[in-house]
Amino acid sequence: MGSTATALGVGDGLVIVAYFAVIILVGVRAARFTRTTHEFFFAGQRFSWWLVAVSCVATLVGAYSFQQYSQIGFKYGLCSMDAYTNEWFILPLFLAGWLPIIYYSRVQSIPEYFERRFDRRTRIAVMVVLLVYLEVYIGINLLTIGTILDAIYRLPLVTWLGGSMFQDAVSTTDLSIFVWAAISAVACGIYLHAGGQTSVIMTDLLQGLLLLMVGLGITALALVEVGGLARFWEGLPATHRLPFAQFNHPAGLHQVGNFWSDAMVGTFAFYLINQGILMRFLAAKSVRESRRAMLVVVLILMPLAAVAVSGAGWMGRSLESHGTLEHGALADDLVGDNVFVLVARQVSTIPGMFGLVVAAVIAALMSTLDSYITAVSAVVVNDIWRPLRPGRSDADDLSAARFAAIVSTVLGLGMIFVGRRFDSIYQALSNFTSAILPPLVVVVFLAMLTRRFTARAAFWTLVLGSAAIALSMIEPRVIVPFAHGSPPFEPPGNPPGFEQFSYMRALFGLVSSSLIAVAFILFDGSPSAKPLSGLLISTLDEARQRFKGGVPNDRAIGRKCVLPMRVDAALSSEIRLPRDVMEQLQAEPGDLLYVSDARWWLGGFRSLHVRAAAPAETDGQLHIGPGAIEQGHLLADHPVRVEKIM
Amino acid sequence: MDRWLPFAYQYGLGALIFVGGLAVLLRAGALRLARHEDRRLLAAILAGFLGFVALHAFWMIYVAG
Repeated sequence: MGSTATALGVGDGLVIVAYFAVIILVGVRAARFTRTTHEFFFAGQRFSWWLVAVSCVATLVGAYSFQQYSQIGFKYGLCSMDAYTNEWFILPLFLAGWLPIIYYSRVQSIPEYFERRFDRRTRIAVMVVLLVYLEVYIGINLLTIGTILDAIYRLPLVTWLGGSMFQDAVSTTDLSIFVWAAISAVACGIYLHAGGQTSVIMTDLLQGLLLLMVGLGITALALVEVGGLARFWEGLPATHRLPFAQFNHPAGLHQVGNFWSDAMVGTFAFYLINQGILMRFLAAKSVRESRRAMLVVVLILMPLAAVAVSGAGWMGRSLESHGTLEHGALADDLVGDNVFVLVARQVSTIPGMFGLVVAAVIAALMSTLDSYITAVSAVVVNDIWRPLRPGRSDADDLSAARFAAIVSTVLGLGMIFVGRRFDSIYQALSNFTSAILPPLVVVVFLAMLTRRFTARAAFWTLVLGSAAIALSMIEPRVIVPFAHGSPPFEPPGNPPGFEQFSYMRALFGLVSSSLIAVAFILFDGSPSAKPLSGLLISTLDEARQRFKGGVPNDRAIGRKCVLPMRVDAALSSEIRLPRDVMEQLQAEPGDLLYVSDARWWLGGFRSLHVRAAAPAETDGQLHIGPGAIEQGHLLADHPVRVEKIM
Repeated sequence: MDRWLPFAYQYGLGALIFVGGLAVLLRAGALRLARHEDRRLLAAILAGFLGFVALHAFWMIYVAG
């Protein structure tokens, strides 16, 4: 992007400043709903599916996505969508297995599940991996946004500081990248520190809408620029029109590699192991609502996001074929790498419009960044702070969570300088995470599946599986039998072997880790004697029962009802409903209900979970205690909507 | 045929993993067809999967014939 440096107009600058102001304002306003660690990490588990879904897309689309997928779209065509539309295969296991296990067992972090399911040693191993994985992503996102913004606009103050104060110590480019990254991190930190997951979800909702709107807008405007759909299609080479890449070549992108590295390992790791993504789904008001959010994400929003991030590349290719892509003095072989900025600039004819594009790219960064920082904070508090300092108050834990978020951000900023100086460190860290993901996928899969997969088996599958993958980086020829005939890939500047067969390493890792795990299951003793109720898919009924605190009422869900409230000081964690409302809800005394402000667009901001008391014959009102009203941030003079959760 | 190979691989192997996952869940009792909510979930998952297969199949037929 550096070679397409663009002067920002005053209108563009104002749009970017306004964007930062709105995001900070919304994030800080949302913070008043955060008073406990449960609210800081999981937003009180109160939100509606649409809030979770749209905000989740913002998290899934990273700062690099616009550039990366436009580039793939330009070079390879419509198959760039594949990475965003191949998630369906693992969906049954996520929706009906992993998600309810985590939700109902009230696990607060992925490592915590590993201690409950296996032992402390496995928990610590997974925690270290997870923290490195998340922190690397935070650093990479900050570096990406700093690089992009530096290419677009260099602050005069930075030029002055670079020339006078730091001189030889830090290059002006490094300083500029750092300053832009720091500005983004501070903006993110302000609302995140105050409101945690609640602020993250609210700001990510706006950022998700913005990046979808801008990405789809650029695609639509570029389509007009090309001359319509027929002319766009005409401008695409035949291979660019297919929905999939070619089967096993070229080395840079092929479908079999994409299937194993992205659809299998990547998707599994993203939805089942990534603490940041999982926390988003745990913020929904019920498992049913999380499932609905996930279905909408995978079926509707991810395909839309695929068009939003790739569209500029497809249009750029067609414009280039017709000889109408404006790339000035930029060399032809650099057009693909810069196609997103080129197309965005070409269609941005209104003052301030390019600023909106820049804001969308920043939105993609901030929405990923805030989720990962919250995730680091959750892991640090739950897996380090609480075990080391048991018995502290929730207020202390909340302070620790906020402090951990700040430290995580500062560490991410520090990694910018490391990443700028030693590219191979980033490469090594990326390889470290790619080495550990396939064994982790196998361990999670077997952990929820069978009691025979013991703590010893899990730990050694992680260690030996990673060792096998490390071996494949030193001696890539071991991957050849799994490569489906795909050629090795060796980009210039990387150590030999590291990147060879980088796509097919996922399949090699899955197979070798599975073999190790199966060997332990077959030859290493008896099933675990540890109580595993609720931690296996075969014990989900027990998990549901424990979550509810009684036998779940599996009658149909019934209809939601809207009714006025009446404060009743005799009630605390229960509400009393008229008999006819209980019948409409198909609810029984003791059932778990969800009460929310009747205005749907609040998305669950003013809401809480309560239990149903014995019904009243009475007055068509919902009787609720003053403590519950305060806990749910409900407004006594507004009607509420009631629904049965379980 | 070469052009159809990625489609066949993705949805052939993908279907095995997808159906295998469903079978494991049904066998373990994590998905119970007697439960109204689970039936709806299963219908949504199957419809989504078939929707993606159909979309990509039509796309392939249109482009590759």
